[in-house]
Amino acid sequence: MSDALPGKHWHADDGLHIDVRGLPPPEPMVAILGQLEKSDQNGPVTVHHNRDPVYLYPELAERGWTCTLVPGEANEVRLLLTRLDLPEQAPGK
Amino acid sequence: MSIPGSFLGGAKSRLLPASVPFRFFVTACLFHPLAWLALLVGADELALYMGGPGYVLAAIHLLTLGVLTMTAMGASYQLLPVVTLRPFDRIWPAKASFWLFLPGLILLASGMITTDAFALNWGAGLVVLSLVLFVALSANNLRRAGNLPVVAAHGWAAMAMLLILAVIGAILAADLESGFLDDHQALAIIHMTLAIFGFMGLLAIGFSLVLVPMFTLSRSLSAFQGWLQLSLATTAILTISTAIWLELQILGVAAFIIGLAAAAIHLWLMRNALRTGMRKRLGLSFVLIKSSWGLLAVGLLTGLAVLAKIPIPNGPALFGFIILAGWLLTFLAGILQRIMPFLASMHAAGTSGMPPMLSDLTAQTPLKIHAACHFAALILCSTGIALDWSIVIEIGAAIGFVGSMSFLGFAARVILALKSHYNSL
Repeated sequence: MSDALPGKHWHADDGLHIDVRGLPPPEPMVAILGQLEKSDQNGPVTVHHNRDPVYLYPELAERGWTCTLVPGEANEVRLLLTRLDLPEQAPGK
Repeated sequence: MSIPGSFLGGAKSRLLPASVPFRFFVTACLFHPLAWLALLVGADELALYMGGPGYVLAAIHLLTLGVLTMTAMGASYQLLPVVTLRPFDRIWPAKASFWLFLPGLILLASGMITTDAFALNWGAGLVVLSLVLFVALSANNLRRAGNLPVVAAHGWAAMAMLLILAVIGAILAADLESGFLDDHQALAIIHMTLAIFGFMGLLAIGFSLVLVPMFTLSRSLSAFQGWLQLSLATTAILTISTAIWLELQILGVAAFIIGLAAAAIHLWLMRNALRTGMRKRLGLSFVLIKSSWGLLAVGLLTGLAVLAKIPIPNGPALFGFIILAGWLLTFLAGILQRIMPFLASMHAAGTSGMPPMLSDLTAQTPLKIHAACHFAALILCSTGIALDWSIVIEIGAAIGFVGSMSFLGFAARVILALKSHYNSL
């Protein structure tokens, strides 16, 4: 399913970016949660959205992710998602 | 969850205060046991019921208006502004629609039991006024739903049907006192058809195109099939209404076949949402939702058999019960137990930036009791109707009442958790 996720995503120096601008509901939520549910996804994740994703917050909280608004382009809502429950890395790993 | 105030301002501006949608949801949960109670009292009339005042008519309206329409109003007020990105200009009309609807429905239902003309006419008048306000508010939002044209079209069709059925309902209420209609029963059946399939049915299958993919985390469903579903469903509703008015049996059979085709497309769309969705463990809510889809098919086949004069004992009452309690009430209970904690968490996030967990807001035990009682009530009441055993219907309605009280307990837990979250800030 994750390969067929809607929207665009790419990796940058600051982590994964997901662009869901212009997608009809519920595809932005599907794209974001689909990326977060990948087993190797530990964040941070930057989301480029064109609306306040109010329906997303309960789902993020349930999965142990936090959400912060960061500056973005005009008409963009940019969110930074980070995981709360990352296990500490064992030395040498 | 840390969400700065500026962002919250944007989110909150599109969200009505939690008290607005939740007053509709909680009231719907209160009318749910009342509907079972009215059915319990009117159990001996149910199997042979063909219309007319009394406890069965009151039970039907406590369910259709008190539970189903009440929930549809709350959900529409909550969901449409978020989907269309346009907030309501004012909050008071939504509140006013509630304060017209609630006393109107209480008066109407009591008038149906007592056949008191004052209660019937004033009740019907207040309910119609409230529904006109609801249609106006929803229409104002629907016209901006350009990103979801198929869902908006279902909403438009449902609102048009609601206006027509509300006017017919007011005429029927007036006729109960003065008896000026030549064929009260035919108009009552058209009123019921427009209410069940035209208003609530179209809203259910239309909102499902967004809600079910959202719950299952699937991609958007085929727009073409969505349009086809809507076209067939509206054609079937208009055809059956014409067939009832003109007393054309063959046209009625054709309408049911078209309706079954619409249901088949809907079930296909829902199957695709389940098959392609990322979330596979969907919980108890989807046990109810999936069962409701099966009961839709069973109900339509029962209706077709009745029209085709295939002997089914007390077929008309059985058809009405399976469609209303089996399809619509089961579907709504499934959706409501999913969205109430979700919306509570969403509102809490808008207040503090740290929403309570969905799992903390969802009390599983009351929901399990409700589901067990609901299915037992469906089986017992259907059996009681088919065999014309009022004692079995009474037992079924009593079990349904217990289940609905348990559901009320679940709703109370959501409200208390939300309140405690606000108090802790």
